[in-house]
Amino acid sequence: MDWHILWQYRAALWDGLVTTVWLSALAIVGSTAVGVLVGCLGATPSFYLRRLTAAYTELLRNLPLLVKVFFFYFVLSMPTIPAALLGLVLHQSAYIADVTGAGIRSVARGQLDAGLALGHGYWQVFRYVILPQAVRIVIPPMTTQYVAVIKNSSIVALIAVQDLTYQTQQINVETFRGFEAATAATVLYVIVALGIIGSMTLLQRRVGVR
Amino acid sequence: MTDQPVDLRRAMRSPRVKLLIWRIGCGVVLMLALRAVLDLDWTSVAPSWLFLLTGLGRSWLLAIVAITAGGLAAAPLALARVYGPPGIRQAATALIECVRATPELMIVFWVYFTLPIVTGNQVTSWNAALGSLSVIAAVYLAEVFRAGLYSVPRGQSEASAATGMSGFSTFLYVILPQAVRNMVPALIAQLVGLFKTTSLVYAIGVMEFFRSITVTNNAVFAPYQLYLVLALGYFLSCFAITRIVRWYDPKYQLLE
Amino acid sequence: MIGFKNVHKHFGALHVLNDVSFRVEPGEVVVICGPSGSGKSTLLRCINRLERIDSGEITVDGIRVDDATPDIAKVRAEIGMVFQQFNLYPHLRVLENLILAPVKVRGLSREQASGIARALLAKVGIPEKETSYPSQLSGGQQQRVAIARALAMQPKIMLFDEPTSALDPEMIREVLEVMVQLAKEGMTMVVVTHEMGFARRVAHRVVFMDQGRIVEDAAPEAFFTQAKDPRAQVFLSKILTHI
Repeated sequence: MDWHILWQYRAALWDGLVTTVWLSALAIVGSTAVGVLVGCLGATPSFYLRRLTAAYTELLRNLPLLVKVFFFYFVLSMPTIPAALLGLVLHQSAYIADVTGAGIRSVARGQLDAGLALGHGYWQVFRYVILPQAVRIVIPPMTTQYVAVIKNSSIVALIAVQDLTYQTQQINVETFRGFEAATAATVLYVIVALGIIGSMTLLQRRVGVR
Repeated sequence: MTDQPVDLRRAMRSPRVKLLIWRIGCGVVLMLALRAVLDLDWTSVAPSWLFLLTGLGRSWLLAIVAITAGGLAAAPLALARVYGPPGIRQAATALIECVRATPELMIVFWVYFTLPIVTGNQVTSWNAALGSLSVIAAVYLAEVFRAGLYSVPRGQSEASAATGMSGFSTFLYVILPQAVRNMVPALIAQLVGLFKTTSLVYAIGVMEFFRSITVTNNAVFAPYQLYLVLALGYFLSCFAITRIVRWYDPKYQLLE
Repeated sequence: MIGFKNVHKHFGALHVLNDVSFRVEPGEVVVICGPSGSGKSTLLRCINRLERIDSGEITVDGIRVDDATPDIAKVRAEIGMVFQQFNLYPHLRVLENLILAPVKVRGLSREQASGIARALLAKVGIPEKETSYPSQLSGGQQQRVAIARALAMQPKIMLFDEPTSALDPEMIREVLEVMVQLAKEGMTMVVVTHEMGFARRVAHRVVFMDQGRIVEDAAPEAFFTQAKDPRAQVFLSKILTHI
């Protein structure tokens, strides 16, 4: 074991970490926007919207993330970063749509009837009754999804985006100190994931009045 | 009411008619897609069909071996986490959570690049792929098994204990059958997930489906055609997994 | 007030409403009973179009509610409904549960709506619970809040879908008391329930359903003592020995 190698390559590791974090952050924002929209549309009473959104999630869930990233990178010849970002957003949005839809449906059972019976329109029930409750239900599975984004972002190393995984491979190639580099990277990934879990728990506490 | 005119608005609202309209719409889209596909030039790709099929077969083989090995390892892990004595329980939890927090690609690299450094023996990329995918399958399946065990309400084991059944019989005859039933959807998700994860071992040079596509593309350069084959291969494989399990488990059909 | 004309509804192969026709006059209290799966809840839920029908005609207060009304929310605002599972909004306090619809649908100010809501909470006997969350209340209290929530819209008709079926016996009485009081004030009510004591005390008519059809439609005394249909007799013998 030679842990000094990590100190020697600290700048590379730091750059990789920064790339991983901001790429993941953008992917989280993008996939949440798309996924929540699709999930909400899929939970409306409209038959066609339900079918359309189901087709969207089924198609995307049955394709590996790598296939999506390569679609933008090789087939559409996009630059690496936008290709990586679009792939991540598309991939995770399907899962987030499922999570959101399930959350809304679990609340809507009963609550939708009650709201409609009082004369609210669908969107009013959705806005004032279902949404506030769904947000709370959705936070824990959403946390899992966000952690998955961090982990999945490592794939972008395969199209030469210089993220944390890419940097560890570089260290391995240059020094054959793969074990030390992989350990360091894993620890950093876990720290970022813990950061997400922590902030989501705080969020849960803010909205979680009952 | 037989001589009433057909109420069109009402007819459009009936689930059966909506489904029909939806199916017709899907049919039209598929036909258009098929026409576009047939318009492409397939002559350069066609000779590689056996090579590509072999690649897809390797992906399936990787997934099946990893699921089997992973499942065998996951059972004791899950049991240790749920029923294990203090120290063991925490150790199992720590192991599962640490591996789950690591990106799958890192695990693949870890097994391929770092194990030889630690052990001193070279590992072939195929064995490293099998090993890393089995590790991934093991920790995720352990979580599925655990959730399945927890999904059985407490009243079940109490009721069983009240009839004088031993802890082991309660587990075997009361808890396990219900747990397995409840696990089916999560199990499908993990199977599909693992099949998709096999694409990652592309990175260490295993000639599975993804790499066989890229290799072919380097030789004949037909990105659109090959990409279609790639997407279709993965989609149909994953789709088949979900449908096979649903078909096998009649209860799951009822849930739909 | 409410009129059904040749209403049919299917759930897949199941014919849940089979040529149902009946009327409810203003101020009438109608109890609907029947074995489970007989279509009584579905019938009730058709009145405010929580369920759509396949054919036939339903009017409420002179307005077609089956299909012809594009703005069903307006009609629903005039019809209060109470559910078996209460369906209170768990994320809102009791008072907020009561004023949400008056404020958002009727456009009342919060103060106006709160005034009405407090009066109703007093009426159902739990004025002290306005700042509680539903999960902090007993089942009986929750159902009384649900009744107050429906009344807060000042509806012309009240629908009750097995309002006491999810309650413990000692809580059933407190809910029934509120419903009896409401009936005596002249509210038009349609109540799906097996509480035959309630039917005897305040119902003007008892409707018995079986397999999607209305089999009996009679005044309570006539229904209990001289039901004509054998299925109604069997049902009564089961349910009355139970009491």
